[in-house]
Amino acid sequence: MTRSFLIKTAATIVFLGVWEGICRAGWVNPIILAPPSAIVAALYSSGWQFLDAFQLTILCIVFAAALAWLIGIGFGLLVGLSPLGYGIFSPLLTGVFAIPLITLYPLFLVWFGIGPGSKIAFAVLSGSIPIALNTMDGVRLIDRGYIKLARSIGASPLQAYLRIYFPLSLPAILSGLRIGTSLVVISVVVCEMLASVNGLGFWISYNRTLFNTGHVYLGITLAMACVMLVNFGLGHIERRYAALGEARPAKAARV
Amino acid sequence: MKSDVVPKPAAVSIRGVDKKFGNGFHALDKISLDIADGQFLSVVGPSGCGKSTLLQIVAGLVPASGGKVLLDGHPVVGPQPHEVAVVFQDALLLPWKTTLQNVEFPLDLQGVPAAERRAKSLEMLDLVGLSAFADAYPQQLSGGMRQRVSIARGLAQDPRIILMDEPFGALDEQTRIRMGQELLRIWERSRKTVLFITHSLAEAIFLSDVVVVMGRNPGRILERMEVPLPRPRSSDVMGSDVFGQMRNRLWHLLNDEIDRTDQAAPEL
Repeated sequence: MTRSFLIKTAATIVFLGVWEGICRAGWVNPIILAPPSAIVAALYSSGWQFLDAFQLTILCIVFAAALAWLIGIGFGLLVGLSPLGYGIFSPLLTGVFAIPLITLYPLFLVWFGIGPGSKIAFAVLSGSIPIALNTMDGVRLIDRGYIKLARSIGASPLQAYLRIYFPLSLPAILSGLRIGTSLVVISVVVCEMLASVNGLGFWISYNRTLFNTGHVYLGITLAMACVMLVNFGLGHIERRYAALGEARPAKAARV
Repeated sequence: MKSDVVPKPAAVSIRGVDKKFGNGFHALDKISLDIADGQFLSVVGPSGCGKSTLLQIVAGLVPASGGKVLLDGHPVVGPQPHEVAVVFQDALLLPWKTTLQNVEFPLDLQGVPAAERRAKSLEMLDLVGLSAFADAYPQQLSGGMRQRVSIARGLAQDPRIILMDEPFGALDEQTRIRMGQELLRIWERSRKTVLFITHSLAEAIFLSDVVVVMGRNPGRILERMEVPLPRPRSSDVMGSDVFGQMRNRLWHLLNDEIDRTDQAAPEL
């Protein structure tokens, strides 16, 4: 067990302890802040009923993330290599990315209905933009020599993209995936809070109206766990890949 | 060995190749040049004389504006990975692949069975003296070693023609001279037709059967010189009179050209 792991664990325990202490001491209203013990208690008192909601949300996230990855990476690879495509789409997407996209969500409700469709569609939109932007930047920074190499060794366009350009820009793509996938998780949960009849976001919202603060915090904790899992997993891949070293474009971290 | 009773067509025949870029820059002005089968031909010239562009036209990577290139009598219309391998100034290895996997890569793309491409690649790694590094990753190798891997990758394609675009240009002087000797040893064993682009006059003379000098604005051939040095050559030939005279002649040709166009000098 490493020293840094011990420090992190200790810090977490102290944080949870102080939180619990503040609540037990009665310094804050339990409706505003539920202690960690109440979150654990909510696991049981809700009769595991949150699992249904959580399951739906996870399904939406997985589906939306898969689409956002596919669209973001595919679009970024295709556009990034062409100076014209990059010139057109980089400022465009950067601009769209700067808009609070959630303002468009009412339109998605009209187009896709109140069910999972509108959540997935919106999450795909918000998640694929940073993935596309990072992929474009990564591909654009590939040493042009590799493009000549690909042609001179007779790589088909598909081979060149999948086996040369994609892995060469993977560091930039990975940082895009971290941002994009986190946005997918956030978007699904927020959309469920805004308008839904099921899912984790709805569950949080519903319990808030009942002043079940422990349940609310449980929902928030679960949503947070999803984002942390994404970041941990992709961060792990990123570090392993970065260990392979130079001869690749610098990581393009712009969004 | 093949007998030379019937004169063979040139392995590479460049016929009136012209290149103008979109911005109006006249890179190459009706270049004509033949490279015989198994010949080692170097092109030297000042920066901007279009020697690299010429190589890329021969490789089929860049289209010519006029004229044509014939390989064994067949016109070049695009890259020909089975006929022509290109070695670039940068080794351009894939950093997530081992040395061996990098050498195998072109064969892998062509769908050559694993056992066959592996055997072929190991043979080429042996030829460039890097068998011991088959499982190393590119970032564990020195610059010279990477360039040798890139040469092995080119040889593994089993082309008849190898085009080398300043392959040692990014290396330090010592490594560069050693790489020249190494290349000569490899070439003497494989006897491919080589078109070699360089800045270095000594390198060009030491390696080649023929040295072609190009001028710029527009890029054109100033002179074609046979190198009368016997083979196999060792680095001792660099001290010989013939070598010195050739280098002087090349130097004056280039110097006059540079005075005419007034820019940076080539390195000796």
